[in-house]
Amino acid sequence: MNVDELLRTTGRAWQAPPTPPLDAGRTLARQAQRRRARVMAATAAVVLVAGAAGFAGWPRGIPATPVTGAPSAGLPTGSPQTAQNDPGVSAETKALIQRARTAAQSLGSGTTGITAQAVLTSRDAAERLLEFGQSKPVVDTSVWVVQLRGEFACPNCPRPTNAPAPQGTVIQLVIPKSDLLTTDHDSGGGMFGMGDRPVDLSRLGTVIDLDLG
Amino acid sequence: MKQAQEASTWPGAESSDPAPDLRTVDGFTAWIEPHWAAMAYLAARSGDDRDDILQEALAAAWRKRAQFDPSRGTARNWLLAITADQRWKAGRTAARRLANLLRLTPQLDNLPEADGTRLDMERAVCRLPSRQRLAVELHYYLDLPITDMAQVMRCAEGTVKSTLSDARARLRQLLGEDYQR
Repeated sequence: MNVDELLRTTGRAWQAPPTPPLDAGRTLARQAQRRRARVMAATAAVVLVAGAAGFAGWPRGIPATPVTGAPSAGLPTGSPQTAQNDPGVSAETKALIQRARTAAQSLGSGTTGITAQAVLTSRDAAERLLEFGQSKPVVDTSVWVVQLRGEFACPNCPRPTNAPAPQGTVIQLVIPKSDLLTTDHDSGGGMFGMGDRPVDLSRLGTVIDLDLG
Repeated sequence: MKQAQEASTWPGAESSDPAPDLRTVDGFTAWIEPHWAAMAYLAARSGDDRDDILQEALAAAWRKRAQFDPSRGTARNWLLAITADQRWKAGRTAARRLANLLRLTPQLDNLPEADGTRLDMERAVCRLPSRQRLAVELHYYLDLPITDMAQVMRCAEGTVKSTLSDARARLRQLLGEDYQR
């Protein structure tokens, strides 16, 4: 028996295990979740490293004025309010705008065409909505969730050789309220994610629009 | 033998697949379904991680579905090419390499009533370089003709033939003196 013949008989004798059922919807949903988790983990790592290195001109010189309650406290519930960059805006809101602007400039093409919203909520609620699934079971804290929409790319994200930079149309920042007005942006409590699926921030509380200018 | 007969009649040999509606998951599922068994067969040749390979292949097919061009080949061959890519990627992971070292031929369980010769051949096939192994499995296990193999392997038919020839030569070498013809 020669190799060709033996290959044919071996190939015909080999039996694959039973074919698994095809459930594309479930598989695709699971894959999308895994992919989003990978992108979020990668971008979070990049942002932490960038923050540690003082990358991308994080806001400096913000007056360390004590925060007297949430900036949205005085806003009526219902329609979102626009936080203009005027003297009447609180330091906390200015810091949010600066954070959003920095993210837009680092990962987008400037701030043109990018919209941003923010909401103050608890870490648990943010985790449930955003499903970032990485926070440790620590004492629940108040966090700001900032969502930017536009066209973004993360050229510094780790990825396979020759693979294109991860892209997305949504960026989500989770910033502990206690960290917002500090100059130390690498305290480890923040989260960063990029993807294609925006979330409805109004499910977390009163949303304010951030004017990135 | 029954499976081999099924393999030879897997749909996709004809080039006139109906225009699929790939915008929805349902349409995508209906498009994939006739070729699912062939994808599963090829993925199963990789061993224990068949289900992972199939999931990755399904996700990759969904992401790349806009790139499918019926004028360049059949849906089955396009899907088999994606499955082969995912199989290769799975084989590159460190865990998989370790598993291969510990258990060189996971496919032996699927060779019923195997005599020593077939087992030797199966072991030898598993030791082939990935490209030669893919060519052998497409041709001898899935019964694909050279034309279809060229579409799956994304190369010229002449390259497929030379790859098969190299694989047979390597197998003769691995199997020893009794198979020198």
